[in-house]
Amino acid sequence: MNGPGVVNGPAAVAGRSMGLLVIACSLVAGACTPEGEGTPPTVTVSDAFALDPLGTDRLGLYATLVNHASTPDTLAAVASPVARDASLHEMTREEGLMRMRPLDAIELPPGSPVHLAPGSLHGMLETLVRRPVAGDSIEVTFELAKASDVTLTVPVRHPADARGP
Amino acid sequence: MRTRRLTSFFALTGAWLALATCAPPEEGSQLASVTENISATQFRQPRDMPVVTLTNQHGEPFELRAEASGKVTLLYFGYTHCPDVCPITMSSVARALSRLEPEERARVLPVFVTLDPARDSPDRVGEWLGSMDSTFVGLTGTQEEVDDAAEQLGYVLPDQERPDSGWYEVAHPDVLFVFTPELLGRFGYHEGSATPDAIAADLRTLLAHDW
Repeated sequence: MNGPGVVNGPAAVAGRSMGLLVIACSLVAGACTPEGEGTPPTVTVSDAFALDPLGTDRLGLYATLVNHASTPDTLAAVASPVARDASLHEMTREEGLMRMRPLDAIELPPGSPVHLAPGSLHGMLETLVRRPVAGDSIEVTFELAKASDVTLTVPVRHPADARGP
Repeated sequence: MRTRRLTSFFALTGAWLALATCAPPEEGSQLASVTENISATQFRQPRDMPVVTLTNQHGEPFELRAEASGKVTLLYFGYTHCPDVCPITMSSVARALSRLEPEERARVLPVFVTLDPARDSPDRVGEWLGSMDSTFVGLTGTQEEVDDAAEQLGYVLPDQERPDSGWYEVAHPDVLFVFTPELLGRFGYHEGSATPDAIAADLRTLLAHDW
């Protein structure tokens, strides 16, 4: 019972190495132009925010991703200097229960926004080396299989502000 | 013939109107006036408050029904390692309660029950809830005891591996339950609907009703 944007597989490996990403990029010629050479990334990330971990060692990460290319891409991982590990997850509702399972990656079909949102697809930063609180900002990198990685400074919200007033 | 039928029709209609206006309001119609004004979902079949004695964050036994009697109880099952829906739900409750008058707040019992007691000691539950509202009640127990509390509300919890280290899933009900003072779970907020505004408005309506 997979929703859109879901890639099946064993537990997502935390913090994929840049080496693997470079190899992946070299296999997809021209898709991973380094930032700063004037070619815009083919995946954009907007409305990103992180949740205050409330003293725990992990936090949820949310955003809207749009793949502007004509071919599918995938969100392979998320990473941040504030966390030693990271993973991707999907939450589903089954028979009245909230369930959560790890994902290898999240599919980004061409042209369709994919929402990482509380209670749905999300990134998780784990084994925090620093515990940000609401009002802080943290640097987060969205690692994409084909397009250039996207690094953003994202605000940290209190959980009570995650869904409006 | 047609005249007699019309006469009967008006006589019956008149009698029904008289009954409807003179009869004392039934519990159902009183309840309808409440349900019309709250955003939480009304359960078709109210659920009894679970009969359980668990351990609160101070390490003391907590008999749920005895403590909840006479109050509006908000009951949520979750776990402190939960990345978003649990802290979002409980912190939305905290924000809603902060908007009530002290007299109203005193008549509400917010309760969190962990379904992950292997990791959630009373201290840990207390620390986690304390970051949202130090007056919350946080309950833990043996895995069997906390599972039993959820199962009394009709949930079938899956057997799940719980390794000593690393990530594992904890399935939990997707509802914030609202129990009225006579210990009946009449309403609930399904995942995503428990905003601070909605909870605060609903609590005022429920507290104004004579249960």
